[in-house]
Amino acid sequence: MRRLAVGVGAALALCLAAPTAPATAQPHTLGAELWGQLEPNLGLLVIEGSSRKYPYVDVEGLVWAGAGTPQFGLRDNVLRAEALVLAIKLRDPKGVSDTRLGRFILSTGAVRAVHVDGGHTILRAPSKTNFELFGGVPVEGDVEGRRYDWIAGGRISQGLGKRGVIGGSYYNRHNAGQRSDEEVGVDFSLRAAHWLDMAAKFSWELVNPGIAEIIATVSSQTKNRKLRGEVFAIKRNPTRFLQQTSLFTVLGDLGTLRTGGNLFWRAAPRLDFWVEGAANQAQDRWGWSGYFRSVLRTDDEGKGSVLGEIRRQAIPSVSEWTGFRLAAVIPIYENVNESVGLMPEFELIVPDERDSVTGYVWPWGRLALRWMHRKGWTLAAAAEASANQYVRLDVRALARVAYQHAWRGKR
Amino acid sequence: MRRWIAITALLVLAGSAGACAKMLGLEQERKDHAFEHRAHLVEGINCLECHAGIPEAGDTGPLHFPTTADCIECHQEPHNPDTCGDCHGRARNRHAAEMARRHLRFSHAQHGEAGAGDCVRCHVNVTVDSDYLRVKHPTCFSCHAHKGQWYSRDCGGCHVDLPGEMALPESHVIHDGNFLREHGVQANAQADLCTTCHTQRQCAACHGVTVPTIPSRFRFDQPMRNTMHRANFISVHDQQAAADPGQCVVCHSELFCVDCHTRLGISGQNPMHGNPHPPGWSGPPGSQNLHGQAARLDPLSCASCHSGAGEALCVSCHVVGGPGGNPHPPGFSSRLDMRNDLPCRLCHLGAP
Repeated sequence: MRRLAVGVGAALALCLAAPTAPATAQPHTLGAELWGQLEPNLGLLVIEGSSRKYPYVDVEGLVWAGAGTPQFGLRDNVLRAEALVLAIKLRDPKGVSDTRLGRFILSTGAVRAVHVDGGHTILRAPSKTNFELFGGVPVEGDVEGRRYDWIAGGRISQGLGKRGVIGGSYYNRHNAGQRSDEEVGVDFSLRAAHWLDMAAKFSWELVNPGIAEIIATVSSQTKNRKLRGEVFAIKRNPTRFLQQTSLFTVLGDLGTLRTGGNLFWRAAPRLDFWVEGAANQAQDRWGWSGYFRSVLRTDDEGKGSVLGEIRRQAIPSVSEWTGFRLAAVIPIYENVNESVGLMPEFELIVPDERDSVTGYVWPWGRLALRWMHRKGWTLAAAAEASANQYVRLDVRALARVAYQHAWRGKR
Repeated sequence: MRRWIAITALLVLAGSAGACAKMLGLEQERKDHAFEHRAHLVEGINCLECHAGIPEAGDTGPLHFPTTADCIECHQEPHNPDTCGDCHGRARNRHAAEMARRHLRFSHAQHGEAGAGDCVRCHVNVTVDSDYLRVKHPTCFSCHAHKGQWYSRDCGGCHVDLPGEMALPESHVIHDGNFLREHGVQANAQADLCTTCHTQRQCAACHGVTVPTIPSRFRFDQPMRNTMHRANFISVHDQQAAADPGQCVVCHSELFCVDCHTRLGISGQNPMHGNPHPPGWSGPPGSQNLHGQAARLDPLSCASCHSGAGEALCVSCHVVGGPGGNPHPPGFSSRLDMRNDLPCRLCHLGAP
């Protein structure tokens, strides 16, 4: 795997060097970000880049290095570096095949998004039939846990004119050398009319036979896109999502169901509303969840905006709380080259079950200031404070320095 | 007196309505409007009289918009001393044309030849004074070569840099509404379509196992971004997980919870936090044993702390022949090998 990473890294470096050849000038980007947090202390350096040699090869990478208080991938205040993405995509000039190699997110057919070190290839037949093959080693934060892990599978799909696609897929995943997931799935996506989109997915677990997941969504929008509505249903059996090597998969599965709809309405050129409501089933109980959100842009370009949101989740004895959120982007200075903005954000969670131990309300707030320059520089700093059932008062400072450079051109 | 009050109230109402209209964007700040292409067409004016040089234009070089001097050649007595383009023709459409010039591989010279100089064949909206003249996908796809490129997801034939062009999809999946919720199932069905605009880095920012921090914290200066985990998500994450455990497991393995809670010292093993389970949680056969029902209702809650090495706790009682009894639900079946595969062999030690 290390050789593969070195190879992909070398390819990335070569392609980033390509802008010196004006005859093949293509989009190339290179960016770096420094991100820091005080209390708990944390520092990150993120480097990202991408390059393209049309139509043969795309390369992209995002690596980070950091140290600080343990969280996510960081441990024990020791400097650590990780590649989040390091991938090369090869395609033949006629578009018959695409192949991606390296570290990337694999998501196709029955496979839910999996971070893998591996490959994925698509072969396209003239009859609009696509054949996909994929395989690799799932990425785990803990390297020790990756021994003898692998995932492999394939998908066949058929294009439905220019309106959509229907597919069938299979994948098999081994964990520590033992079968942990084996699923078959059917999926489709269809744009039945210019105002009607629909998509669905069904997957069946073979190791511990049963439905793993069913998702269906139908959405519709008006021609001027001022109104868009969606109805959806999601049925999941979470223990079939667990690796079947887990003891908890033997307990059976009540499953969860969520079904409802949402509506987006551009009430005025600068005013948008969202509303969503859904019935939820969890732990053999029924409840509901929903939100109402509104965004008002303070100028035609949307440089400034104000957001208000109310959210409610009510599944008795499982999850009962109400949230209120306010956020704004306030431009305070702008000229041709640079802009300065202020971003206050505040959220208040009111749990239904409250007492003096957990607290009666859980407030959270942040005030950020950002300077951006046309040449790709961004400087931002923020102060954040919160109180919840875990900590009585948490105060943090955040800072970010970013630079993004792009070479763009045409043959 | 009442009359004055009424007049004052009406004035305040009118003023508020005017202010609201401006604030909501109902009253446009800009005075520009769609260019009167149709009127010119009806007068029999050839496109090339204003857009000179277009038939020879390649995919680089200047745009061929008429200047005020061009307008004055015909409109010899302009009604306004300002530049004509300030009002006639929308600034945003000119900006869109500039973006297209920068990001599209398109040569009018080649297409003019194919269309025998008939501009309206592609720019159909000219005939209706539409706001937007850029040629739409179906017109491009009427040519066989582009149809093939569409099927093979080869946008690079025309679009040099789709993400940089910031062109929103209009002929396929639209991302308005709650697309954050909808995107997964769409990506499962046609991931190669998604990748024509979206890079792997965008997927990995949320779905990557090795992300150093959540996107809403990393991009703390972009509060309008619609993300799965809002910055204050931590305060309700346990309730969210209980309400829809399947959603968490889509991205996070059960070890993710154990890992984070153990490292941050938020677990039952930490004397500061004590035992998270109520009295009567577990005991000898015949006692309350609340844990059994709780585990059946939400096995993932158990897994979020007791995965990995923590499973040994369950097996100490639920081993075959042990006091814990059979944890399988009625009708349970599995294709795993009872003697060799995990997790069966944890309990079925002496299986035949």
